[in-house]
Order: sequence, then structure tokens, then C-alpha cells
Amino acid sequence: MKVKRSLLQLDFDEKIILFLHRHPFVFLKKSIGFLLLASLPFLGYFTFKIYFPSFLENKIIYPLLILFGSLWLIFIWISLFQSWIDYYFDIWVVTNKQIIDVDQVGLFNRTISKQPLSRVQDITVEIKGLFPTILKFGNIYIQTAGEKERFIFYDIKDPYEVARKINKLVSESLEKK
Amino acid sequence: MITIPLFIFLIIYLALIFVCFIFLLFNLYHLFKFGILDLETVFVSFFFLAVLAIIVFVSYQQIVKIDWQQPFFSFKIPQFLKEIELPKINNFELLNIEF
Repeated sequence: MKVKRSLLQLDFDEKIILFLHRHPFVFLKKSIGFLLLASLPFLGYFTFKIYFPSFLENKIIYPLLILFGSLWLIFIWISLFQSWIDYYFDIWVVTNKQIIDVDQVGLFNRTISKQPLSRVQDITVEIKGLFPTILKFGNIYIQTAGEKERFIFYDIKDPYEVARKINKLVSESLEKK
Repeated sequence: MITIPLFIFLIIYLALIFVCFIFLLFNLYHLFKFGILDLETVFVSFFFLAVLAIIVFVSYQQIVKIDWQQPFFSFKIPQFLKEIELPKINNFELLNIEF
């Protein structure tokens, strides 16, 4: 993935070690909800066709159903796209110097929080639920001594492995000090 | 007889589609401004736009078949309202009012 380094405001000698997204299952779950909503006009159409066929022959009701169905599908589809952008832009970056949390909320609200690795105090991993256990994803809680005391990496794939890598980087940064 | 044609709903529909289109443009602007331009972004964007184009095309195919000039609602003005004579005032009379 290519991200503008200037956007993350990285130093020239700073290397990106981990680039993390939520597990794709999280987006898949949302997508199923959207697709169920998208299927409503078709469900409505078949219901009318079976139980109220005269509705579909009505010269006023039929055009209104077409307009509503079309608008509904377009709106749901664009909302799904928006949801994908939200999913894709929620990123956590671990460099050899710091951890960065890029949080995308809606279209116009993005927060970028940073904390040097040397300030990390504690790392906790949480895997909760059936699917996270089966698919091996979960949350990583990073306790820091900074202004933003707790960084939470949500629904990360292989959280134990990621936590181990962050721990190693923290140890290295403390040794350098 | 006052008649409200069906195309009023078509105008409302087009206005809402326009809002959705603006929303989509913001999404795309956001996507490319942020600088994530890998294969996945391009592929997903293309897929979303392709499906959207199909939805719009199928909708268009259905919409053009409908006669939008037909009345949605007709209201017949009662005879007694037609017979009421409103006072006639013209500008010339107004200008010549003496105080």
C-alpha cells in the first residue's frame, strides 16, 4: 500500500515496520448487512407480484415504486462504498520510532495520533467472540505515558504476533536510549 | 381543473440522485487525496463505479418506458369558486387616488 509519507509526517530515516488494517471479516459483516438492505426492493417487487399484482399494473404506483427502488439501491450502494472507505482508511502504522493511529470517522473527520515507542508502557491483546477466535483477529490495547494514554488497534489480524513485534520494537527503542 | 403531473416525482428523484452523486464525488476526492493509490483501491473503486453504472442504466431503461406526463393528481375547481368575481384594480386607478 502506498500512503503519502508526508501525510503521516514521517522523518526521512523513519521506516514503516507494520501497516495494519482491520480484518476483512469486519467489512464483510457490514457488507452482508448492506446487501440485505439492497435486496429489499427485489423482495418488495416479488411480494407485490405474488400478493398484489394489481399494484404493479397501476399507472401511478408502478412508476413510484421504480423511482423508490432505484434511489434506494443507489443510496445503499454509495453507502457501502463510504463504509469501505471508512474501513480502508482506519489504519495503524508502527514505524521504528513511533506508533500512529489514523482514525477515519465519516467523510470529513480524520484524526492522526502519534506516540513514540519509548513511551509505550503496556500492550494487551484481546480476542473476543466466535469469529475472532476462529479467524484469529482481535484488539490490541497499547498503554502509553503520553497525552493519548491508550491506543487501540481494532480487529487486527494475528494480534499476538503484532503485539510481539511491537514489544520487540519498544525494547529496541529503549536500548537505543 | 388543476393537474399535478407524475413528472414532479421524477424531478424530486433527479434532485436526490444529484445529492447522491455529490456524495460519491466527495468519496472519490477523499480516496485519491489521501494518497492510497494501490491496486486494491483502484480495483474496488472501479468495481463500485461499474455496479453503480449498471444500477443507473437499468433504472434509466425502466424510467424511459413510463409516461411521465400522465396526471398524478387532479383537482377540479368547484363551480362556486369560479363564479366569484375578484375586484379589478389597475395601476392607473391606483395612481389617481386623491387624498
